Amino acid sequence: MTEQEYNNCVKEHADSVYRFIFKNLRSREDARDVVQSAFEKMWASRSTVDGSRSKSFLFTVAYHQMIDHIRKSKVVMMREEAIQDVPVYTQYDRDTKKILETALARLNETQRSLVLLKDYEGYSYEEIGEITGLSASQVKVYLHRARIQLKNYLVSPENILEQ
Amino acid sequence: MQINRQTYEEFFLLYADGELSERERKEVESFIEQNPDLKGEFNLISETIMVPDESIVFNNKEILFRNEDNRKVVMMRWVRYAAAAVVLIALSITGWLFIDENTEKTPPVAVLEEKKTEKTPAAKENINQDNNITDAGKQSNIVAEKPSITVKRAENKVENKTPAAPENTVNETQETPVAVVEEPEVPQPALDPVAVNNDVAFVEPENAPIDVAVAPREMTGAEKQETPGVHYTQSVNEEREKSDMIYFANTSLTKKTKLRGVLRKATRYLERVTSIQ
Repeated sequence: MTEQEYNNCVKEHADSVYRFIFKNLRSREDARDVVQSAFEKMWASRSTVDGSRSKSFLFTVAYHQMIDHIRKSKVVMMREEAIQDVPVYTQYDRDTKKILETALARLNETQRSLVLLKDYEGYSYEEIGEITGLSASQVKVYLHRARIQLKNYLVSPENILEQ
Repeated sequence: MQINRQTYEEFFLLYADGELSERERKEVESFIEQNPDLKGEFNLISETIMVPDESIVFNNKEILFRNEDNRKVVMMRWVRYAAAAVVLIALSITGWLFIDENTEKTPPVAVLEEKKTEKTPAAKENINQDNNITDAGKQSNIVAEKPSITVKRAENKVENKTPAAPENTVNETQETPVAVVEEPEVPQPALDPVAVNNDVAFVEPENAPIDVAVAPREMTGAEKQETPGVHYTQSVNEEREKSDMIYFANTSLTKKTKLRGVLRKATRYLERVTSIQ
């Protein structure tokens, strides 16, 4: 990866990676740290990273760093204040969006990441598996389970049935 | 696998994941039409599809960019130029300050020339008249009198006693005067860096007023660039008094030498530093 390719990678993927991490960590500062660290790692490994694989490299590094961060901090990201940090979606109903945000927060970090990688970035089960260290079939199963959970919370937040 | 009332959930989820082909999607859609009670379920699952908020961005991406090679080289060059410029400017300022303040302290450099100070009254007078811008008349008078200007030099070989010594040596030498009073016979007058030619008029034989003519400075001009020795010789020869104080002349000469030396050293140092980089 040349310096030019690296800088192009910054322009093209910094926002996506940041968005993915931010949705998981709910903290702008932490998300920035993770993203910055991921790019630093990629720069350090630029001789072995091909420009076309840069995005998945970034997501992989960022994801694992995020997991480490979550497990170290052991903070439950379900505060009401955290939810208010999230900007309001324009496509959905405001209330539905808020509920959805809460629902997303209730997932564990792996499930949440699978949903985001699928919906935000359009990765295949295979690609998501590479990023998260799971098999494609595992990804599909976990992902489907996550969606059912989200759906159930949408239906009746009071009677959410954990699986 | 075919979508039916037992497998529809899987298909709905695959549909939400975007994993179905165009044809498969149409099958699901037609199935829903045939089973409208399942439409609600389909919509709920569709609502779990996350949509990225484009307003969430990584601000200040510049901290992520890398520009190591080019920037370093360019910066190095600019830093060198800037450093050199700053040092030279500082030295120049220092030099100017020296010239302004130190008009009497620098010891004469042109010692040799002093010895050669042989004046002829006539020459002096002429020079005085020619060079003295302000007081030509006074000059000539002064010439007739004892020297009023005392030149401080390392050696006091200068003949101070010559009566017609023109204090306006300064004018003749066309150099900034140096306050040097060494002649025993000539009392050391106070130094007046900006002495006007008028002082000459009040010159007493025994008193060697400091005649630091302003004119010489003006006239120094091009001569300042000459080697001190040469210029000084000429000026000294022209005047009769060796004890005359040649403020501007000596000062400028001496100063120029020193300053030039300092500048030379600075330049050499800079060259050394920048070439290493």
